[in-house]
Amino acid sequence: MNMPKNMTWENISKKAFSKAVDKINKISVAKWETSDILPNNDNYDSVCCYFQVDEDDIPMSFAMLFRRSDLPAISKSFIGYGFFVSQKMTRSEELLMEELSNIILNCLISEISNFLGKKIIPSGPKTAQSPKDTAIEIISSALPANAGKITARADMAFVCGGNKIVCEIYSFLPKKFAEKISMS
Amino acid sequence: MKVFIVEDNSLTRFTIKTAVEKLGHAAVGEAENFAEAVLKLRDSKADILLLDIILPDKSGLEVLKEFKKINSKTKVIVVTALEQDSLDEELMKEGASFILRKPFSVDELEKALNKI
Repeated sequence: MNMPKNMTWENISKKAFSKAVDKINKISVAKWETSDILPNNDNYDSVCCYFQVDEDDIPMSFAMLFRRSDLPAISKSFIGYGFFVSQKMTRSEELLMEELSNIILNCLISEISNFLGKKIIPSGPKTAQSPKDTAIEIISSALPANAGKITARADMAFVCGGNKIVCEIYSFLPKKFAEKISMS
Repeated sequence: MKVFIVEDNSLTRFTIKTAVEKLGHAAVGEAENFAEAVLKLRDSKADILLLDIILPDKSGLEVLKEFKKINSKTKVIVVTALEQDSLDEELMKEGASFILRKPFSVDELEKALNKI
């Protein structure tokens, strides 16, 4: 079930992504800026970085999906050189994407935490490479069905080093948290 | 000062270690998860513990709680990308001396080390 569109969720994600870009600019080679999002629903070859949370036995997951083909542009803007795209991701690429996702997802998780007034500590980030739809299905299904999960999507687009990158961000929240956000 | 680093991302751990040494301190130990941290910190003579919160097994908050049971002298600087009011409150209550937000510059690390 998807979270209905609402201002609170939009404000939470907007504030989180703005903070994330400020943080990325502190350490990256090129300047990063948020950009307009164009809706895109194709099933691309993705790099998916995800966090799982089991705080006080309340399971949640957060996932961030990038296009595999965007990796050279992202790494060039982040650390100064672009990786050569090989068939299988290297550990260096994984660490780079985990670090970037760490910044962005933690900004989102922190905004959600501050809104709910409840600490949320995720586990270490994990990375997977697969078609986008498969990645979302696997991460979503890892949560127990009785948690009554709600999917909240907030895409993020940014321009870095002259390249426009769009990533999809999914928060799989327990129903009671999602309702608190959508009803406020 | 002697600094012990707990951080799961090897790239970040290496960067922090390099920064610590650049500032003239000694990186005397490192760990990448809760289990390794708790084991190694028992015999550590570190003055400062740089502690990440997001770890693969248990959280840095759990490391802090365990560590403070066996060592109340070593100062703990929590290093995290999280900015949560309720978590900050709990970390300070459990004995953290300072919270340094990721990503940080060498200057910010130096200020944190000098502050405590």
